[in-house]
Amino acid sequence: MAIIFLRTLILFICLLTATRVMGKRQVGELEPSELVVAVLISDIAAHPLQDISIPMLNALVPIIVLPCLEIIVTMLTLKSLRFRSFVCGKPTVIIENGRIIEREMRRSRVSLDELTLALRRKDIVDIGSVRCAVLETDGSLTALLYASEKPPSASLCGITAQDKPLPVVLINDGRLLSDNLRFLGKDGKWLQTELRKNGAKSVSEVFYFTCDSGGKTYFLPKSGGRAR
Amino acid sequence: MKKEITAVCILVFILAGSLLNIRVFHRITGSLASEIDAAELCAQSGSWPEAEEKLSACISRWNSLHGYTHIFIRHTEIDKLNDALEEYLGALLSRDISSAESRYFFLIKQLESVAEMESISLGTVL
Repeated sequence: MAIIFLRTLILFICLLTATRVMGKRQVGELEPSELVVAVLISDIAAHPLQDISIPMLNALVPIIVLPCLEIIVTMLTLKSLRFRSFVCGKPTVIIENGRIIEREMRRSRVSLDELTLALRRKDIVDIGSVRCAVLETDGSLTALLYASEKPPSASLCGITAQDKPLPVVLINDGRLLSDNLRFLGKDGKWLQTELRKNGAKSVSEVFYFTCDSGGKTYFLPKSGGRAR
Repeated sequence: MKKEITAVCILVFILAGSLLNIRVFHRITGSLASEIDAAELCAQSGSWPEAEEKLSACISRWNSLHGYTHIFIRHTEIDKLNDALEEYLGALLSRDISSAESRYFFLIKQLESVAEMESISLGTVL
């Protein structure tokens, strides 16, 4: 048991370091420590299932230890900036004032194809229109356009735009969500009136029904019906 | 912060439990080894029934620990040790001194190997 504990500790540190060395490209949407835990746990759990001669404890100990280590690492990254930059790395500026910084791209091991792909995903085709692009610690790309290239906002156009109220789901696949009904301050009587208005006799006939705080509803009956 | 403190406490608890487990396991293997040694001494002096009795008592004690051993030790290692114990008992029953002696050394080696598996050393950890 002590050996398993120590091995888990050593492997966690080694894998965390390896993930950091591999760079941002490999991380995806997870932080390195989260990735390490996800990779290790899925594999550890499989062994005692496949081989019944391995005591269950051999898997249980690492499965308990790894999330604990992850919590501690996360806490340390919040407390210490130095530790955070060691574990998670630092964001890298790869485009500045419309110019690609080759040195940073090579260091992050991002190819031109990958960069242009990430920009296209953000509807950006002209690198010259990018004031700044940052490769974040989780491997995603943040691009900031020049003010002249940004789509105009309502405030820039001098238009007063109002936020729409959020619709709340009241019926989901024939099931009434009573908590949401109470949240909107409506009751069963109101719901029955709405159902009748939309040609339904009961909740079970409704596939999807939402209502916002302004009273606007969206009604979709079960198969075959038309949305109202 | 509660979550972090709980995580640290769990780690400390597991580490302490592991170290305690090593001590307990070493005590068990140590006492089994001395019982086996006693049986071998009897065999060497020709007291075969006494040797059989001592080894049977040792086997019963080992079997009574199965609940514990199956949780902490690889089942294949337990099986190997069971086989070694049975083979040594067989040799004692056949009253064959040379066979008993070789089975005894094999059994002690097996016991040491199981005990070593639970010890912390550079070799076992890495």
